Amino acid sequence: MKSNNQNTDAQFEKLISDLKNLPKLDAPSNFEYNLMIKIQNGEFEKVIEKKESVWLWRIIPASALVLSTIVLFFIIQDSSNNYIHNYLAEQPQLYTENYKVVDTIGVKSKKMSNNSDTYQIVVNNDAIVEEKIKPDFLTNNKGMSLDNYISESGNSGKKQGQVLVKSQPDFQEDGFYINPYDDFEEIARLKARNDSINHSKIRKK
Amino acid sequence: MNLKLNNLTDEELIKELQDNNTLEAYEILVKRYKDSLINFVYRFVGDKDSSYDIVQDTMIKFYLNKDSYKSFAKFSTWIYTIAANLAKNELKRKKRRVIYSIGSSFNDEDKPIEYEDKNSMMPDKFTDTEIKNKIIQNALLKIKPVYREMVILRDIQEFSYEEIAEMKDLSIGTVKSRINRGRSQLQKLLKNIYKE
Repeated sequence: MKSNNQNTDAQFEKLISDLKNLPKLDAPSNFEYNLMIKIQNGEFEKVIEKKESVWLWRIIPASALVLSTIVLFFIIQDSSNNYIHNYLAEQPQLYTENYKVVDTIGVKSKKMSNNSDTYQIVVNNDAIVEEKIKPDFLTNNKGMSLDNYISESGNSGKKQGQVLVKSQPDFQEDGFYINPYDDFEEIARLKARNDSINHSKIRKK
Repeated sequence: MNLKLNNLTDEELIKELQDNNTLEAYEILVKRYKDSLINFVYRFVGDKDSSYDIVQDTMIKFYLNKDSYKSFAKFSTWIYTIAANLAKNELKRKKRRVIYSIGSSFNDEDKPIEYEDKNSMMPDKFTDTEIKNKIIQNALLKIKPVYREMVILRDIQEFSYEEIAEMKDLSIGTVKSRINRGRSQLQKLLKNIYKE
């Protein structure tokens, strides 16, 4: 072990000698005097303060980052509460109660069916058609688009010119969903137009 | 009383300070270690004024924490540990405060130090030895602090490997390895001097 040390020391002999011969720096003559003054005046608090400040520069940015993250989180959460509900994206709820034919201007006659499962429709050419409507269209609470219902088998062509009017409509929005009208003149006009289209089709056949 | 205290060892003096709060014991210890500590810190930090302040802080810390010293360790080990930690803190602070000058290079750690032409120096102001010492000190400041500390403790302060290992709480193998690496780096930086 000693020989190893000697070998390595020999390798750096000149360097070690130069390092040993570096001039020694001495303390100034008033070193002890200044030291005792500092101790008597209680200036040693500076030593403790210096130690604390070393860690302060690490803690401050980290805590600032954490605080800003928390603030951002609350801001984002708060802005999400201002979200405006889009009713157009919602499927409308259909009421399961019976729909009744409402008396309209231009419609010739009306009749109320006693059977709650059937509906009576009055058309302008005086043909009264009483048809049974599929129960699931009315009994389930899910929204259903009229187009989908018409395109199902057995239902095509039947519902043209028919309007299901709820006794108490609760919304007036346009779109692809059932839109109960309050304007009965408009209903009659649309019915008449549909009838004429149907007649022309029959004649062609 | 002073004569009696002067004959005591370092460990006996600090025990006297701990038990009886004898200020004279404290003053004797300061007198014994101030020069060697200033020399150690100066070689490590490279600045005289900073080294005076660091050693003053070391002595104050020693005074405040005298009761934390345990007699199973050597007093010199304990006080050098305090001084080394304060010196390292000062180095870190200096690093953050460094002012970058235009044209300064930060990748010149491995660059060998140029030996200045002695003819350009005023002979009455600088001697060869002084120039050489300055170059060696600059080279010391260029090697990594962890190696620098070991080289200073071993080759300048002349501590043994065992004392350094106890001071730094390292194995002797690690101490020797770091000292050798420090010496290698120094020699590489000073190859222009040792060519002659």
